[in-house]
Amino acid sequence: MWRRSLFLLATSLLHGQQFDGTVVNALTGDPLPNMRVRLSGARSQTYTITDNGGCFHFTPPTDGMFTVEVDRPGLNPARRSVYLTDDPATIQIPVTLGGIITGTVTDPNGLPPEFPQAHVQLYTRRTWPGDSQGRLILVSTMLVDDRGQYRTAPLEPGDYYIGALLDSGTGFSDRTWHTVYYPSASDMDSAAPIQLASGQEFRADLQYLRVAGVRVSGNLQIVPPAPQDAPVRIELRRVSSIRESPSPSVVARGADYRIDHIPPGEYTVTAFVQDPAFIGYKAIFGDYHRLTVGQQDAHLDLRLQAIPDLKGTVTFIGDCAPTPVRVLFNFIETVTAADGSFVLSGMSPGPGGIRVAPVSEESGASAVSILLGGREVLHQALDFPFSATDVRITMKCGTGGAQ
Amino acid sequence: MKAALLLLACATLPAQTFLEGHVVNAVTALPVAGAYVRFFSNSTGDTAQVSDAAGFFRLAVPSQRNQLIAVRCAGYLIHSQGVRANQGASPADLRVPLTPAAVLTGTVEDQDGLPVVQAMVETLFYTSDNGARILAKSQPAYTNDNGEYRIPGLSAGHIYLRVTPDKLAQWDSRYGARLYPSTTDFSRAEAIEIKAGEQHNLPAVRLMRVEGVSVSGVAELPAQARGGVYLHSTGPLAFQASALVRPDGGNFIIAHVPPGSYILDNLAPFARAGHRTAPRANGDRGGGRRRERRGTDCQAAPIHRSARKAHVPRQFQAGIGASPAAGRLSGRWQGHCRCGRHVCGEGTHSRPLSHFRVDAERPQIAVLGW
Repeated sequence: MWRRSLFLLATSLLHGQQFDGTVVNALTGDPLPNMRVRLSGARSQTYTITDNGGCFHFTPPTDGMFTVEVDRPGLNPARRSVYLTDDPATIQIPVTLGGIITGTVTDPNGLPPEFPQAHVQLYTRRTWPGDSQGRLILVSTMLVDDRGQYRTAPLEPGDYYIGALLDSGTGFSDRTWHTVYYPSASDMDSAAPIQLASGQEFRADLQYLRVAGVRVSGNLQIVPPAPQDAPVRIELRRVSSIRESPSPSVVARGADYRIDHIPPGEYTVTAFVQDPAFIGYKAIFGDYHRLTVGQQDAHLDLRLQAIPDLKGTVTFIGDCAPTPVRVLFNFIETVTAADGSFVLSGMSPGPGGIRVAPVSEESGASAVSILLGGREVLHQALDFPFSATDVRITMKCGTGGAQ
Repeated sequence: MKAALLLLACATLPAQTFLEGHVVNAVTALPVAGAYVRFFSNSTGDTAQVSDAAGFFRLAVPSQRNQLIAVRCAGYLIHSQGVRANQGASPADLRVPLTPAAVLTGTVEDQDGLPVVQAMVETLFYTSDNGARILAKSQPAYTNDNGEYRIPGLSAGHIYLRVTPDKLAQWDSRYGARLYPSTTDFSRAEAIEIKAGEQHNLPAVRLMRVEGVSVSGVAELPAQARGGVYLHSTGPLAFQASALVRPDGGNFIIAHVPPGSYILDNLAPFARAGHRTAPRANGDRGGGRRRERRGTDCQAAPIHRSARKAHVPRQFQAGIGASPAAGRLSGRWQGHCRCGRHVCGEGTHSRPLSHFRVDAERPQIAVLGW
């Protein structure tokens, strides 16, 4: 948000004398009093606030390049670069008033949700060159207070999506209560955007959904040599534009499982057995499916298989000097050895792609190809079970890359 | 919370029985509406009911030796209790007293009177831990864009208030943590009396800019490594600041340190190439959360292997006082290696170097062994 608000304009100012500036509302041109203003040079920082006319005054200690920054709760910070010369000048810094989204979260009975567990999440859509649709990015997560109230500010003008997330079945919540997205959608893809203007305060009240849902159940099988009584954690996660929180996970130990109160929708079903000798998360057996849940109980058999390690090598092409590379899959991370080889251990079932990044910040190398058993997966998720276990990564330096 | 519930042995209840009762205000004895009364059971699942306008609830409970309920209602402390039932009959009318919880509200402003956003506000209170009197802290609240905070769920008693304005300190590093009403000295902090169920509105906490002193020095790092130093106070003010060590000469400086007692820690160094154990700018001392139990073929960079074995004597000297402090932090760093997500090795990645005291009135030189 900060970077998007930068105003990088060079302005000539008088050196050795006091110089003046004004902070104004970018939309109306009105002066803004009581704004924090900071003048930053190479070796010092000076602070002041604007007066009732939106004016501020500094006496720069030296000549050279300075940065004037404006900040205050309720507005999007602004920055402007100035270069001190003998030419007198006055600068004007326009700032955008931020928008505010506020509201109250209630449970299906109209009562405040459990404090301090309840929280809301705010998303907005970001686009990149070559990706006109963009994707939803988490802007912030806010706890609601004991009255169920929340407030987030300042926000840049734009479209926002907001949801009150609920880990149903925990604490005092009921298993039939579910996450709601503004205004009353059960998933992000059905939510309506909040169009927020500069300085606008938008009220978005949210009430958890009450949906009885259906039962998802089936047989459970772990391919030997896994111990048959190993606890199997099963998670249903709604397919969405964002990474939705999973429905209440269940731990099954027998030959079958069941999860109740699942609302209709598209889901991924992930089942895994963790390594009991490892502190933290490390799956050693797993299964993964997609499931459509309708109005009737659903049946899905799960067959967990051993999760293999992925072994591979990283090679560099062009003028790129070989350098250690971090190889990542979801939350798994390893670093290549001197010969470029690596092993990804502790893989998880379910969707996820391989990502790579040089360890050295100076290296400009990036992946141009990631082959899994001959199949290109550079921009694709790996299917589970994996079609192969050998990975070949090719990296190439861009401009400013390693020598 | 389930673990905290009181277990009481009682007679076995009939298979189909109901638990009936009233939720009341423990102070006024008036009925409490809108309270969640929840019965916890791992075998049959949880059940819950909301008390009506008369505070009445009726909860279906299975036959079970121990009946446990917990009650939650906004504005009251969470209550849990064991339930004793009559043999072979429905439990008698149960009286569930809820203690009103206090709410502390107020604002935080800077020296110019402007609101301070995203300041962390915590209550500190004395409690007992194995017979020792310790200062504990509450769940933090954060100020909004108007500088307002709200801390609910407080019990009656005396508390202290601590405000940590991290975002404001990023803007102007002369701002740091303060204790109510506005002091960095705990002996001058005012205790706030909280009464049950009240909404206590505090006067604004005004944060003041403190020039303090600069603590600087030299830290010797392994070749090609980067690291930092981390300064944090030993008292309830919880001042903390970190600085990266400059690779050229190993200099570091932490400015605007208020008077107090501190611990100077090292941050884990990390190699420019190899495994990443970088400290983060926010004071996170890096490293992993997980430890590999089994033997691992750890492909640590040589720098870490040598560093991990380094238990060499170190010395820390600091000239401290009202004027900018100068010091020298020398020695080799203790580190660890990391393989992907796995942290191997027994060494910790951060350890206290020494205590020293910044005294604004009595400059002194401390030469402390490490």
